Amino acid sequence: MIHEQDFKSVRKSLQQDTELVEGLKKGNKDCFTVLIKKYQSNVYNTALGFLQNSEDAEDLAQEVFIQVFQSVHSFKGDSKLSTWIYRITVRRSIDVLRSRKTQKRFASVKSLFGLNNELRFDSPDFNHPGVLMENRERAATLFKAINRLSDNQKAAFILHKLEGQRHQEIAEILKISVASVESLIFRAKTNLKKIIETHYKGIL
Amino acid sequence: MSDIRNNYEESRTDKILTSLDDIKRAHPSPYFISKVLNRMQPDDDTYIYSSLWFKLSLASVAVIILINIYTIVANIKVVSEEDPKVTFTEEYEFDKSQDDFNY
Repeated sequence: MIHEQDFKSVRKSLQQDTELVEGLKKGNKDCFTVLIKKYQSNVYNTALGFLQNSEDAEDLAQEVFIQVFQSVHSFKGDSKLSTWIYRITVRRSIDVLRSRKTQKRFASVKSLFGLNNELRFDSPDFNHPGVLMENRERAATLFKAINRLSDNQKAAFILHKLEGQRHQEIAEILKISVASVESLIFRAKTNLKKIIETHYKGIL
Repeated sequence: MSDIRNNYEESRTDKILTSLDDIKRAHPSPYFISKVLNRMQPDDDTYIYSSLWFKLSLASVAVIILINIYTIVANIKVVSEEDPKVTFTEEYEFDKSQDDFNY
């Protein structure tokens, strides 16, 4: 049950979002600054969950906001502004991960023919500012395992576990049913367990 | 023995999975907003080359050049089609009666 005060704050936030969108459609830079202040943490942390490197995540977050500003005219208000921004962030993050994979494959093919042996397209080092030093090793193992999940499982898991989004909101972001979200999160957890166990069995 | 090992591995896996709860929310750099706004401002050169006026003027220059090329080609064609062996066979006779000058 939603508390009345929570309901008021949600309504206020939605009203502010509507005003922001109107301002952005008119090209108002002040509205854009307010929008960045409001959503920078969400966008940055989501990108960080996918890319696992603070510099890459910040770069992607900047691109997300530029895209929001440029394509705000296509936002029809069918979903919440936050949902739309999350959707852009998830899509762009997955695109970056895919291009990293393609580059890596291309580099390995090149290395087969003895070309560009010096070039390496490994994922950048794990660098998550939200992880405490003593948990760094465990978190690195976990994020490595998250990286091996399918795109949908990864997105659902990150949005739920790191961003604390509810199943309904994740369903709207990924444009799938709530049941599918639940299934994705369950499968993600099972697969993560398997991957981590295999990882440690390999070490021992 | 294997049970102990399995239990140990399971508890370690669970520990790793629960380590997600210890992750704090990170914040982008303090200059994040200004960085985004800077990226929004196109370079002067980019702005000039992408502006509508630049494109229109470039298109009009291209059209003028094309018209000029067409005119030159058409003129060359006309000159080449003319009979180059045209000669004046009749000599021009000067009609002194029409002359205003008095010799």
